[in-house]
Amino acid sequence: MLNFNWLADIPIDSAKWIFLILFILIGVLILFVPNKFIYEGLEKISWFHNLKIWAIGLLGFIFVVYYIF
Amino acid sequence: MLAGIDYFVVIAYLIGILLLGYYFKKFVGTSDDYFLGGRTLPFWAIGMSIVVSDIGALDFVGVSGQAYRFGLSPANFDWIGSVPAMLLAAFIFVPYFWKAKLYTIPEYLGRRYNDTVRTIASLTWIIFFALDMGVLFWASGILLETLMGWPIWFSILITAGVTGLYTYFGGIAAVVMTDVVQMIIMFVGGFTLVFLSFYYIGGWEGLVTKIHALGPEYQNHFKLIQPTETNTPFPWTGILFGLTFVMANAYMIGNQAIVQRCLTAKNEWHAKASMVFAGFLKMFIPILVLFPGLVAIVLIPDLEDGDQALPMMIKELLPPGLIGLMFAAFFAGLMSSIDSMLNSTATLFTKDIYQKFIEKEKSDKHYLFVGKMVTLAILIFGMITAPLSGYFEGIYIAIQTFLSYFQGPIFSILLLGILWKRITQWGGLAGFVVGILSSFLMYQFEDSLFTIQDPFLYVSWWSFVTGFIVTIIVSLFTKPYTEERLAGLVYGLDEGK
Repeated sequence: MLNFNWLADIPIDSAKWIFLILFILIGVLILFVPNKFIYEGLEKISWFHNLKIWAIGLLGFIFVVYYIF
Repeated sequence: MLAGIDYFVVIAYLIGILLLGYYFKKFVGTSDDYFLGGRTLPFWAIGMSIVVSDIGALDFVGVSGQAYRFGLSPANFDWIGSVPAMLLAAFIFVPYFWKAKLYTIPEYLGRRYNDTVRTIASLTWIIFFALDMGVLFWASGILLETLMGWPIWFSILITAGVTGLYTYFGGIAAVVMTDVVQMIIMFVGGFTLVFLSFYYIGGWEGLVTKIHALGPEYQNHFKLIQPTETNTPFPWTGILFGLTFVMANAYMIGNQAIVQRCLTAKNEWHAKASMVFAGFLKMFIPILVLFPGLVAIVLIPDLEDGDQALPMMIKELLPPGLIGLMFAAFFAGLMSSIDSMLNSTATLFTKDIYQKFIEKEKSDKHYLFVGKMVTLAILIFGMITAPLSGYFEGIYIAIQTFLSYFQGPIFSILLLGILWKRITQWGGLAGFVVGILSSFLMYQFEDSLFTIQDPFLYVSWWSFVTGFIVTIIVSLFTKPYTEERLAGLVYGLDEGK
């Protein structure tokens, strides 16, 4: 059990989708973070200060990498 | 191996870094300046500093060697083993740490749980950093002896002298701003080698075609997700449960050397942005440190030791001048790791041990002085203990294993502590201690419990689960702190509400 032998039957393509779904899930959770919390500390706000956009871009980047490889 | 121009590049780099770091001396007037840079630093500098501190000179060689043996799968450590954890840190932990005006992560544990948890966590990191520094000095000395022909003691003296001087005088601001330059040098040096490697091999397609043509054992070399019965140390189950869910989070959220940088940010937004920006930079690290190892499979086949891949690639591909730049990149990796350890150890000792237990009511100047003295003491300790690594070959693994005992349990109490107000001080203490004990026991009986060699990913996961469950059970039977007491320490319980 400690070796996760019980997951050995999962095909490698399905395992890959577990990783991809994890990225999607994190992205969805980040979208739910309130904007007020995101901009905390800033006096003047511009669109590029939206860290949700940064995070989604980063997750998109890593999603593509894991999708390809 | 080095030409005159290479020596010029390396020496110019060392002098430049020393002068840049020393320049920040004038900004240090208080202990807050020394340990937190006066909380004035921008996100881009902190992000670059986080990334370069994480990549040491040994990683260049070691990860290239792993790529030579196992292919692309070691890249998991910088991709899925970093990015999700950095986002969790950016959006949950770092804002609370920053708002609480913390100096150290154990300080958070002390406020959220109690002083015993704080002291255990702090001593763990102090011991780890102090021992690891000697090992790092020695391993890097050997590396530079092999690559440049310099005596080991000379490399140690040069590295310790330059790094020690600017860290001693300039504190964390000097550490972060020299890291910025060091990251640029690492990226320029590393990418130059990668571009030349791809030029010689015929681009990405040429690399894939040629490696696949080597035989069936190379068919998985371009797959990040490896089956559970893989011959590599990176089965997908270990990567997902051990690395992604536990070790990465423990490293990015519980490691003083990483998180202390975010605490230097000029405001909360910059603190959060620094982690997201660092995650973006992290995506490029495998290209720098791993691709030369992959190209070496084709250009320099049949190497007995995979760790020779990168030095051989440098020797074969780079012209004079660029070799010097690559060695400057090695120094950059080494010095950025050393300066982080020095400043973080000084912060941990001064704030969590000295100010807490030895001298509680001294002036700020006094704590600044103590911080500088600890920086010096740790540096000397590292230099003195460095040769021990030559006598005890397994010491590097032993120190890394020592840290891995704590990774799972410390993340379990950090996660529960910040997310759930019902968790109590006794739950946290019990979960932390029992989690560490479970790690010891699993390593003690690893042959009968695990089927893979070096099961550190699995041990991290199961010790996390143990700490998590024990923390919850004990908490449910003990009395929690009031909401007022937990304000600013638990998600959703902000101060002033």
